[in-house]
Amino acid sequence: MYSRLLFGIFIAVIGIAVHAENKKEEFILPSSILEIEGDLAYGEYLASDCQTCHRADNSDQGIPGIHGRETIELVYALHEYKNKYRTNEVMQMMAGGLDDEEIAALATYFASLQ
Amino acid sequence: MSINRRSFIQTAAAVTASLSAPMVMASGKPRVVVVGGGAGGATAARYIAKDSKGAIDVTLVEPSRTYYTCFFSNLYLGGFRDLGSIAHSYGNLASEYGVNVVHDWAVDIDREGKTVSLAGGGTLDYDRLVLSPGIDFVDGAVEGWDLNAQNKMPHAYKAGSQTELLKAQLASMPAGGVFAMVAPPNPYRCPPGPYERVSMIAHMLKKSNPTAKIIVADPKPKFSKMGLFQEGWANHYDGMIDWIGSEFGGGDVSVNPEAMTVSIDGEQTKVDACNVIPAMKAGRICEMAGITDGNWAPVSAHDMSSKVDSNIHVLGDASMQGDMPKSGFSANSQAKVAAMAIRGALTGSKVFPAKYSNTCWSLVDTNDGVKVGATYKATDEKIAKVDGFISKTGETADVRKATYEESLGWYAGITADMFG
Repeated sequence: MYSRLLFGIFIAVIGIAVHAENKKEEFILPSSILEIEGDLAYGEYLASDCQTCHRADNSDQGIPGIHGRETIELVYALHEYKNKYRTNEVMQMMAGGLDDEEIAALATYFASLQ
Repeated sequence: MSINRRSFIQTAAAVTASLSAPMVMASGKPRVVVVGGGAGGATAARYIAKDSKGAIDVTLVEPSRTYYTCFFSNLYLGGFRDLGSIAHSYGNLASEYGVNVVHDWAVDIDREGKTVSLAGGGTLDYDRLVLSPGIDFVDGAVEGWDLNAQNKMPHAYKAGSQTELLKAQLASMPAGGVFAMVAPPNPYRCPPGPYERVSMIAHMLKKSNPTAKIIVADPKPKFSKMGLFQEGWANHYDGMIDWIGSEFGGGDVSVNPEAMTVSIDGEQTKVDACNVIPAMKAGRICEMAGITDGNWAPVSAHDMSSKVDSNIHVLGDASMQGDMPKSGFSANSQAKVAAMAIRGALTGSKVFPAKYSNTCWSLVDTNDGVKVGATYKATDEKIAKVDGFISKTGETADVRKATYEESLGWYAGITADMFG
């Protein structure tokens, strides 16, 4: 009986995981990550690498403009790339090299550019 | 010689200071001189000027008034871009960022006196010097070829008139003619560059001269994105390209530019156009500065400063830094680390740990783009690779098209990042 209950929980967990894989809106970041205060100066330095491709004039030919977007949107996007919920290989690699503080710093900096 | 000239200039300047003191002397600000206005130098000049907000005087020394990017020059050969679309001027660096742009050649560096001598006769003082001169060719690297032969057998590895010349020679090949490329040994500028070029030339010939042949003599047994290029060549240009690697004598090459013949592994072939890409070394100003070890200038991975002289930073192709490929993207990435370190040293601004990245896109045929990239960190020994990726063979047409479109975005982005 106990083992059947465990098995049921196991299946349920797998089900949630598969569901999350298929539907990226299920990607939820914990508040501990969302509440990190981004360091603007560090974000400005890190952003120089992004600006090789993401243009300051926000044109989106082949590569989207990201200047002036909402902090939470940028934090989510970078964590989704880092966790491979989004597919672009360049962005998976770039985000993969960033820790939570660096992502917060970048999002804060880009959101500050209007 | 340079010390005498400097002494003279100093004396002359002191005598005439009240009448015509140069701006840099009058301002008393720290001075940065950047030699070379490509992906490394233009980026460094722009970032130092932009981020120091006028606290540092930045002078950029670059002989060309119009800069043609080496990246995307293959797409010009393939007919995907016109030459004007890869041409850039330094006007914005001067007008928007206050960079003092000097169109001249740097011909000597006095490290003790911290001066750069210009071919036009002037001398520039510096507190920090950035050398980003790109590449020069190793003398005698390909038997029978030297710079005197570059009009008959262009290298087209510094973009501009050489690229135009190669394109014209390809266009005037007779029906069923032969084009040969002599590929370079490692390390060299833009590892996938020769093979993207072969793809672009094949694309062009397939339309205008479909029975033409392409021979590539290569001193290497393998090359960047080899599987992706060979897949693309088989898919798009079946039977047109004969790549001869080192295992089949591809490194045993001599050329005769007068007779237009190429000898590979003892077998002589008459060719109608020939692209010789010789072995490379750091731009000659690095040798003149006395900061090279062999063909390249070794640098610290933490700030791109020369291991011989910490007041000189070497960027891009000329530097020997570790794992990063010699690419425009790498030079641009390195320039930002150096700019931050230089500002920190001269104005006390905050310095963060170095991070580097690179991605190289290549076009194989219409809407068939591939890419390779990596991230890097600074160690005491070298710039060390952290993570990377490469396009896969067999990708869908949609993925390849998106990759090509991404490369167009990157081109627009990096050139805006370089030239403002």
